[in-house]
Amino acid sequence: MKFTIKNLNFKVGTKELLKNINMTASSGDMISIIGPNGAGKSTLLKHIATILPTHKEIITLDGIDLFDLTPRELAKEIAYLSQFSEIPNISVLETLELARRVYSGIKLSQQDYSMIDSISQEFELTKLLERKLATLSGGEAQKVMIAAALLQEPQILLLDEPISHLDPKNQLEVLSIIKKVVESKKIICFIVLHDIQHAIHYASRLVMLKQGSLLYDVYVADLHSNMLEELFDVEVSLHKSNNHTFIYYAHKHN
Amino acid sequence: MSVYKAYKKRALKQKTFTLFLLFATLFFLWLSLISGYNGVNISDTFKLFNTDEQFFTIVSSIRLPRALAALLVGMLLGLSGVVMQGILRNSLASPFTLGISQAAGFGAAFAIIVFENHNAGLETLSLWFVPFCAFIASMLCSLLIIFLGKKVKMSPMVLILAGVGLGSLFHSATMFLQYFTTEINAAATLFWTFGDLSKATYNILFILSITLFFSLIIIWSSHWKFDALGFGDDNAYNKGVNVNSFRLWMLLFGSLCTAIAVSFFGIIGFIGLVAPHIVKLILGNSHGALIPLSALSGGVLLLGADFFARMLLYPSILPVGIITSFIGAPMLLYLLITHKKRQ
Repeated sequence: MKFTIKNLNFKVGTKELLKNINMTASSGDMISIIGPNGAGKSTLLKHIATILPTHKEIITLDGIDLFDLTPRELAKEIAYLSQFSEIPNISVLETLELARRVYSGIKLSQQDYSMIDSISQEFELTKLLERKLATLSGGEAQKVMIAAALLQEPQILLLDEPISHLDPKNQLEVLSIIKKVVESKKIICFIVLHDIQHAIHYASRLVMLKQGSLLYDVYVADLHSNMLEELFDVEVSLHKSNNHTFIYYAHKHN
Repeated sequence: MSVYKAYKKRALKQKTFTLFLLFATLFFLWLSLISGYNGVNISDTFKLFNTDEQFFTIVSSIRLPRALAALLVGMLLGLSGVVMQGILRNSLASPFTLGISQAAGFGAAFAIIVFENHNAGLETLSLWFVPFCAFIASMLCSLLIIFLGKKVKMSPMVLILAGVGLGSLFHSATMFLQYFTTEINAAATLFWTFGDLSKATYNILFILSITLFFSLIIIWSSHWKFDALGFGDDNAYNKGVNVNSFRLWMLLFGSLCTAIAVSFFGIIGFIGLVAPHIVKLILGNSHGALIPLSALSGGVLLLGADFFARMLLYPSILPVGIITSFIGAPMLLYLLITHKKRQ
């Protein structure tokens, strides 16, 4: 599976939100998009999901131009989890059912239900099935939304800050699940993360965006502190211990 | 709990509530058929199954069409209400949010005042001409809103504001006509706006049933798209919904249901707002059950309201539109309060 973005530009009025983005990805890539606030991270995800207006021959998946696909065809290729979402008054089960509608429409098949069953066991959601989404904790709700995204059986998973409201335990749990799924199902995942430590630990590649331009696109092993310094305009040092890379932001105490 | 168990439990809850609504429908139908100018006559129940000619004539020509009209109009308004709340993503939306009632009122006023069409001498023409003008005006209103909406990518907030704007435009046009006409004409237009089910005939019932049947099927077959829209437009798109065209078509069918009902019977408030909320409070917002049951609740509510309209000050009969708001508003408040307590 090969995913490419070629010469992606996006302007709102005279403001250039994305400038000449080019990149490729293939099966099993877990790519973290990092960068300062307003760098265009969410905008890039929304382009890949084709929610924002795209043009012909910009974004392709295995030679298929995403521009040519209908919403229903797209939903089978791409699952997108937005940063903020409105929460309707429906149950966890109904949320998971909704993810299979793109395949089955008004009546779900036996197979759909067995998929819902196995994913809710995998994500430990079985106790929550009857609960309304609004009554769940942040961690539970996020797990439900990720499970729903995976039920779409996407080739590309787009996650916009999926762990930003979670406590450390839930952060690790959710990220581990995502990493496991990306590797076992051989899909491509673009994940926007603000915590660079998590990005380094869980992603295989880092895409660094600054002011709408792609600054660096590197494998985690090739990451250098200079790159992060340039990206965030802060002093950064990287430390290795037990095969793990740790990030340290230099700062002064007065 | 496994998925299957949760599924079965939900199905049981839905079935129980459906049965309750069906029972309520039958109960109020029965009450409507045995009640008349002399109040409720339980003993008349047996006459329903006998061949008492005089009683049969009263039931078949007056009570039955009226009761069926209440059921069908209530269902159309309930259906329209759930569609409007869904596509506009606003729980305060109702069939009349987009100005349809004011537009229908203008159409009727236009027919009565400009064409002087309240004349009893033209019985058959009059029976159809006023509703026809009301229908044309209300569909014109919804087409205008769709036209405006397409210019702003069908944004719900703009659609609602456009509805408010067009509603007041049509309302002022009606007042303009009323100001310059005779007292009799002005009174006729005013009386038209009181929702009144006594105008029911079998021809009208036929049109209502056809509209309801096809709208219900078309709207229900998109039930999951309403659920997806609950997560916001971007997320709905990613779940496979072509958001703009879906909103446009549902707006059209939702408006059609209301326009048909209002054109024949005048403005009946609150049913379209309350009926979906009753179902939402009991079963939640999953539209697979919500759409048909909102319609059914609307039918039950209007049947019940019409029964009270006939019995409250009998032998005088109140227009049902007055009763729906009178009962509907406290009922909504009661449901909201008890729901908060249960949580």
